[in-house]
Amino acid sequence: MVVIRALPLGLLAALFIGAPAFAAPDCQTEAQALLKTVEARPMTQRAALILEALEDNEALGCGIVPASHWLKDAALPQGCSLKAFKTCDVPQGVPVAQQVQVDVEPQLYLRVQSAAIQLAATGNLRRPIKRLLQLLLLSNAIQRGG
Amino acid sequence: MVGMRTEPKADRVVDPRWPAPPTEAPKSAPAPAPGASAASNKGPLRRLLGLSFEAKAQDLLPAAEVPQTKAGLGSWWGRLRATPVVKATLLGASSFMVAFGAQVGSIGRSFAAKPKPKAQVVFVGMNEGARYEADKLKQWAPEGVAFVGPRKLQDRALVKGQLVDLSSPDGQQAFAHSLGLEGPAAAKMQQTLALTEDWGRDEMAQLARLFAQAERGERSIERLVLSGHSLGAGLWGDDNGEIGWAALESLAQTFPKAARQVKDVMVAACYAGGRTQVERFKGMFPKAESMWGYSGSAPGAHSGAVWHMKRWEKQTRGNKAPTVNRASVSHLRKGKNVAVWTEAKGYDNGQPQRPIAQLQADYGRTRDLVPLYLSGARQMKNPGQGPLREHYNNLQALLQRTDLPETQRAPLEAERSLVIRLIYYPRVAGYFAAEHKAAIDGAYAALGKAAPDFATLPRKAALAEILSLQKALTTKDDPQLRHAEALLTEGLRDLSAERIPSAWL
Repeated sequence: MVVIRALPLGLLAALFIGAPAFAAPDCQTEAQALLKTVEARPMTQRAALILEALEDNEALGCGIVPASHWLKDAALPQGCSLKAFKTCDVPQGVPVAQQVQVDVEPQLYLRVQSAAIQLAATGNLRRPIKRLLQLLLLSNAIQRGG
Repeated sequence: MVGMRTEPKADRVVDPRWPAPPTEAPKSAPAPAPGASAASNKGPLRRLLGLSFEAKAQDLLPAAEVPQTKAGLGSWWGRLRATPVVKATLLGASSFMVAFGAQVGSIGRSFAAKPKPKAQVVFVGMNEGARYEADKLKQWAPEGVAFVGPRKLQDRALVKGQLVDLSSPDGQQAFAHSLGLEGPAAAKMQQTLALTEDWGRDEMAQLARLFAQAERGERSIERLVLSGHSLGAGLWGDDNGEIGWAALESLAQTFPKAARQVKDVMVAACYAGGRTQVERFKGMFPKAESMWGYSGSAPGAHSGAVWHMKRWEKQTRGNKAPTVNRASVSHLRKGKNVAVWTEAKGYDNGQPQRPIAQLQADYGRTRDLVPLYLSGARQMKNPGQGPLREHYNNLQALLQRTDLPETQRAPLEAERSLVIRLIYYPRVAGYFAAEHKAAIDGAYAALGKAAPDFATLPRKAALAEILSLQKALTTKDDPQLRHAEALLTEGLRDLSAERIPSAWL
């Protein structure tokens, strides 16, 4: 208490109001922390873990992609149907081989690519977040296509 | 240079037989003869000088097997008991010996036949488990393995004893210069590092060092293994960065001679064995003879990858044509996902062959592109990708079929020869201009003009120049002019195989 009383008022205010320690962690830091947990798991278990975190943690969307994005159906690109999904020309946010598009769950693929495009446009598709999206696709594709 | 020793070079770590620079102090340090005992250290001369040497097992190893670290040298020096004056004398004498040895060595080397470059497998592993894979592979590969793998410090490299940040333009430039690159080549290396994703640059720098050695003729890179996670567009590792195929392409363009040495490529990663990937790698490594990848998931380091690698190593060993085949791993985990390509047999991912009529239809769809590129109306941007590369693939797919009618084979082979030279036109033009500089300069001098630089001229402009040279010949029949016109017409205009050897591709 003695120390706190001795501090100038401005510094005290900064400690409680504007100090970086109290600011919300940025999305890349959040993503990196999640990535560390995810990478400790086997590849086939990673998709479920990432998806759960994306649905629960608003911060992972960097204020661009809301958590609800991961719960609702993504719009199909024009001229596409889920029946003929393999031949759909989906705009690529995260570049993937054609076979990934065949193996991965179509709705998940669309959600990931749509999120990646939005994040890239705002300069937020950096290593930790991009890696989470890549692992989400890879883990899901391996589970389904093997 | 002292600082450099703390960063183990990839090739030196795995193959201590690789010759070290003459300044490597531990190699020049006198190693006691095997079997030397402590008693032998107490001879009359040593007693006179006040010297004694406590030999340990490590010191008795051949010099090349002693770990070449500062600690190793320090401990050797520390165990040498002598007066300061004697130590100083020894230090001076050893420095002289090192310098003299280097001179003698360089003279000797210039007379002796060049040592045969190592045929090590270059192994790039982005995951921690890759070290295990490389160690296993080392047991099987006769010439060993040069390992490129994760480092403790991400995106850093030692350059002249200084740690540089490879994500900064200054660090990228310093690194490029440390490889002996200048001008456009240095800029290309910087671009390669800039294209590499965060945390992948330290691995890229290690690989670049090996490519630089190969470019200088100090080693060969004939077999390349890339191991990690992939979605088909690059290679990454857990708690590590990514080397994208675009960055790898840029590296191959920085070191074209090294890239042309690569014959066999294995991509031990998921989804990195599709037709598109194979074609992309063929673009990066024009002399590639085989590729091994996975059209679906690939086995992990501890769940079968090494057994796939063992077979790949055997099938690509030596100078014979590679015999990579999927059947050799069909009984192993993830064996059904293997996709292979060989120059002789084409692409095989286990799927049934497409009907030849479909391949002919594909070819028909892209054949009209050739005149556009031949006239220079369209230019190649990337030899590994684009419509003309797609046409080349369609041509290759047809030519690899045994059921192709013989009457179609010869014209398609001629077209393939032309198309591949169009694909690599900028490189071809560079070699051509260098090879025939004197003839071209002489012809233009006869016309009283300065010769254009055909190495950098776009194809359309080069064709216009050749045409004007032909017109000049109608009014002035000069032997130099005639010779240069013939060279340029057959070489750069028609891209004949006689004038443009396949070694330039």
